[in-house]
Amino acid sequence: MSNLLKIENIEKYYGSRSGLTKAINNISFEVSKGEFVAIMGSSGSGKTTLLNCISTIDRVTSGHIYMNGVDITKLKGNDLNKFRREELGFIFQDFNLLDTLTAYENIALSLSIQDKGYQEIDKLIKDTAKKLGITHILNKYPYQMSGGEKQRVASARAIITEPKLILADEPTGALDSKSSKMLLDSFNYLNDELNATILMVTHDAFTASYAKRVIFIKDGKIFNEIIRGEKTRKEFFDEIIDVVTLLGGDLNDAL
Amino acid sequence: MMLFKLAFKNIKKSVSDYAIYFFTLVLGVAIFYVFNAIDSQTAMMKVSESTRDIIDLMLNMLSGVSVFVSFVLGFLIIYASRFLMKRRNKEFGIYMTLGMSKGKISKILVVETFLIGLLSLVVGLVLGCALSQVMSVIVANMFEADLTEFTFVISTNAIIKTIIYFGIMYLLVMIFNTISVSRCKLIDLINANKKTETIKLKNPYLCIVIFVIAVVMLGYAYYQVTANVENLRETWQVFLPIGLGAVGTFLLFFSLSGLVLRVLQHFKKFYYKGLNSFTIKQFSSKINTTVFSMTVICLMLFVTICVFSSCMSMKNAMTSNLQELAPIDIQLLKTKNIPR
Repeated sequence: MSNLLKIENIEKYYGSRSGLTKAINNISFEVSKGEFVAIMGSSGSGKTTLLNCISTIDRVTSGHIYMNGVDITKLKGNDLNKFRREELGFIFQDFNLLDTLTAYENIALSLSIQDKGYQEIDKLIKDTAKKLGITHILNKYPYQMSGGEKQRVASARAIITEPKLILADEPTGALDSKSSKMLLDSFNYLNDELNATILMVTHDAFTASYAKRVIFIKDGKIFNEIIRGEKTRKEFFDEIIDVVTLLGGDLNDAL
Repeated sequence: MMLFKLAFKNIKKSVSDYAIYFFTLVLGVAIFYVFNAIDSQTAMMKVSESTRDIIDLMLNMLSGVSVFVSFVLGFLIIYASRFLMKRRNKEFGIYMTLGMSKGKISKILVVETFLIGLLSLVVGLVLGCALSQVMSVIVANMFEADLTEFTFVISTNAIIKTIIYFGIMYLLVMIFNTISVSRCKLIDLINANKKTETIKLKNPYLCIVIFVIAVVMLGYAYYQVTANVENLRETWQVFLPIGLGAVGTFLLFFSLSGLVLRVLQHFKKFYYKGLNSFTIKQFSSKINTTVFSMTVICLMLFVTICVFSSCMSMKNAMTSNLQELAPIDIQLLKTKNIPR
């Protein structure tokens, strides 16, 4: 498997002269094509900052992030827009759907920004909606949907452009356990069937147990890394809990 | 074309957000038109020669004032559009994460501004035409003109002037919006909602000092222009109280919220009774964030009331003066020829 994402010694500092915070303190790792990686850590450990840096929402203080050999920390202007448009798909904790548009229009937005024709957009949306089970809510507005439905619409928007990398920031953070399970099942489907590469940030062991590999972060550094391999999800979950306990037990170990 | 559709949809769906903005614009256009149309409204009136002179003088002054009015309106419109922009930070953040370029976002904004501008111009001008008829009745009444030949007048000049002035304003808004879009960072846009408004707790002692200074300044200014008015000899002496009054008003609002909060928090029994703490905090934070606009509104109200009342009394004084000086229609004087 080839490397899709390669992160090299990145650092991110916040603050001013008086109080310098090292949100990310020298992190390096790689993600191969078709992997499903979860990044775990307690709140304040720098995991969201890490994701923001990879997604080019924020800029690193030092270090490099390579995507297919291109250093994305150096991208600017239209190259950056093109990169976001064609290679990344975002899923946020609070969905970030536009309230003035229906689910259909929200999903269509990411395609029409790419200047796709109407017929192609229509076909793609119908296909994706079927895969994620949201066909019946396509004409609803975000305020008419449940949290789980919103997150699946947001996922549809993220994956419909067939990005090389899907970035999810606490995707189950605002969902109940049933919706979380449905969303994670659809992540697994995307990963297994469509061979999508997913990088997910979470503080929840249950959510992380759906991934193939879990990277633990503590105080801006990589603390540990475990791989699921041939284990069942339950075994993997127990293993994650063990590491979490080792980490200091700050995390939600319920579920 | 998708951009155009998106812009149009946004306006349609967020009517409530836009309603205030739109209403402001329509009123602005209407007032501006009425102001500039007085010119042609008065042209048809039958008035005496001397009144005609006064009207001409008034028209000259009005054209000067209309520049001032357009400045005020311009600030108002830019302020309102910035407010709207802030509410939509998140939306722009989403556009950008989906890979829309800043140029395209600016384009959407330009299209929106254009649409709203066009619509508000049309509605405002129609409203203005109606209002200016009422205005002409008032003006005619003031100058005791003959209104028998009243006709419905539409001033092309005023329409063109309004369109040009507002066109410039809308252009400025577009430029401002484009600049602020090109400046913003994606991380700030995405987190715009999560960020709480930073509450600047002002130093209470400083607040008290400023409050006292403001009261003294205001008091002195009002004393100068009311009780002490006989000592005002030169024109420039008027500007001191005006300046003091303006600064004093600003400082008063600046220190008021901090002071009131401090004082009321001292009365614990009152502060924690019912919803008092909530109401007071809301009130003071509102004043805190809108110090500047509140000052401007106060001063504008002050100016309006003064100008309106003094105009009315001036007009009354002048007509009664005229009556007194010329009690009869014709007066013939014959001076005696004194032989050398």
